[in-house]
Amino acid sequence: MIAEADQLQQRLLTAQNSDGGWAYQQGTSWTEPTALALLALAAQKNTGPPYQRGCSWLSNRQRADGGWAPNPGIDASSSVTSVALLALSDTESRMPGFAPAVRWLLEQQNGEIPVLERLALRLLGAAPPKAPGGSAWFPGTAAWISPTVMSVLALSRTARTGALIGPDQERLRPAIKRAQQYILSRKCRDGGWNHGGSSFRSEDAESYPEMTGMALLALQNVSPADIQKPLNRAEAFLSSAHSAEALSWLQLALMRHGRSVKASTTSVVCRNNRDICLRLLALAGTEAGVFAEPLVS
Amino acid sequence: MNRRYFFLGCLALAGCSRVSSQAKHRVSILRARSYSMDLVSIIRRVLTDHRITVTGKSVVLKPNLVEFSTHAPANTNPLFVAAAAEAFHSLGARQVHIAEGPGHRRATLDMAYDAGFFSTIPAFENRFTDLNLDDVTRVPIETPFSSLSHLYLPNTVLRCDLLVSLPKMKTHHWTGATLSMKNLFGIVPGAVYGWPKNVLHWGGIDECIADLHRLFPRQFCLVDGIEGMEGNGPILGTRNAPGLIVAGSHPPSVDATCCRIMQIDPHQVGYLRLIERHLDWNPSAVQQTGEAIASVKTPFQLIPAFEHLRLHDTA
Repeated sequence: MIAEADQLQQRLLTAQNSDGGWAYQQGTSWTEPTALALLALAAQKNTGPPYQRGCSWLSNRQRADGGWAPNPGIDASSSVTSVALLALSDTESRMPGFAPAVRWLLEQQNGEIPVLERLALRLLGAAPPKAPGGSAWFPGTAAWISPTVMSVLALSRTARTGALIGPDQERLRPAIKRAQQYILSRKCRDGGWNHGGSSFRSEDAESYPEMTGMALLALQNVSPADIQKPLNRAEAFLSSAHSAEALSWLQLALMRHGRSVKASTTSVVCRNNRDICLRLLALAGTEAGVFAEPLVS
Repeated sequence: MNRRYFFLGCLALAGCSRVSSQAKHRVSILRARSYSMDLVSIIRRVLTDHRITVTGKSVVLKPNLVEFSTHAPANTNPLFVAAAAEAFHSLGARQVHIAEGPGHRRATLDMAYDAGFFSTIPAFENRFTDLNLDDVTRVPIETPFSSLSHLYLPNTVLRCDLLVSLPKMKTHHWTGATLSMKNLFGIVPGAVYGWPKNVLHWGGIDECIADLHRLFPRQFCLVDGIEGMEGNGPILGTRNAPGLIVAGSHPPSVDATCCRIMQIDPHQVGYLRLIERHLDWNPSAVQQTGEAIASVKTPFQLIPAFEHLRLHDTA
């Protein structure tokens, strides 16, 4: 396992762009793979010059509104702000841009639906277009599981570090709770999660291993009854995970919930830099503090 | 002739002249009962018939890859994609690349592996680009149908000489049918817009399909209708096997022809109606070659919400 981690780290370091960031595959640097690379390197205790250059690239790309764009050529902040915040939370929690980043994330969370609108939707049998508590991939669109999970992880990390003061800090816990309720509301019939579509015309949609792992990672400190079936589903998925992404999120989640992941003998291939980062985080196991520590202390 | 008949005659003539003034787009329907047939020869013949010249050109094949193994055929069959690649190569294409950006799952290459692309197409990984993760360029949408003013689109697709849409013939639980035009949703990058690419839903699904059509005027379409999906497509439906390939350079005409084969009224499909109303195109203005629709029509089951799309014309 150590040899595998060393090999993956070498691949990751070789893939670093000259500007300090990382591409998904090859090409220009993007926010998400760069932030994940920093998390992965930190989890492996590798915080030398490549890590520092990556931190510089990322912190210099924060936008005036507090968020991060998917890459510097795109003119809008997006859900990648969560992973950027996670990556920089250790190193720069006191930086001027920290509070604006948290505020940007909080503003993206869907608010409560007015009573009359809720009633009308119930009569129509329709799901609310912007479900409360959820976060979107891209501003102005509907909420989905993955960006909501990453938001929970980033906000929880912020709450735990106590980097904010006053009203901003007080907004964190209710926001995390609302996001967790959203995640629970999008559970599939089989006990896991998929991308998070409403059940409208997709009543029989099956869950995905990677989304089940991600969702469980964000569902720490919830009622055990709410996650018993999902944890069983995650364990069943683990034995047949098809991708590095699925295997990694499942392992991270099951470790977090105290379940064994040693039984897995699945062999997966890292197809891109994001896969490498996720494998490194999973291989770091309980050392991967950013995902393995209690979400809110 | 009284004045009433003279007036009706003028109206009829005006109608005829409108249809005849519209270009008739050529669409071919070819029988291919199974994937074990000589698909390369069939596709090569249709490309030659349509006078597609690709000598020295770069071609991007865009299949529809949506899910890991499902109960029914949801993905464009890799044997079909391999045959298309070989046919374009044999006609002198400088480069034939395969590219796709699935809408729900991020593990694109693992899905391709699971679907049999690696075992079917030699050196597949080197010939494939995950469009969800490609570098992008901002492309303005002039006079959009949708509420979008621009899209970021992958450079692999923007820089090719010919984009070839290789969709699966399927019903779709939001648009009625997903064919060559809807297949272009897969070029919109997830790394920018997410999984799913929900901006396209908020911008208007039919409207965004029409916008993407206008952004890519140089296309060829080869629809995998050897096996398709009916009912609650594009993922949860069931198998239906018309045993056909439908091909042409004009995506709306190709899709309208597929709809008629599936016994769906193209005049009722939202994105085709947009093209019909605003781009001086008539679904009837098709120069049909190969099999006649009447001899190959294969009704596809529709979910109740789309029963109004059913084509009752028996022609």
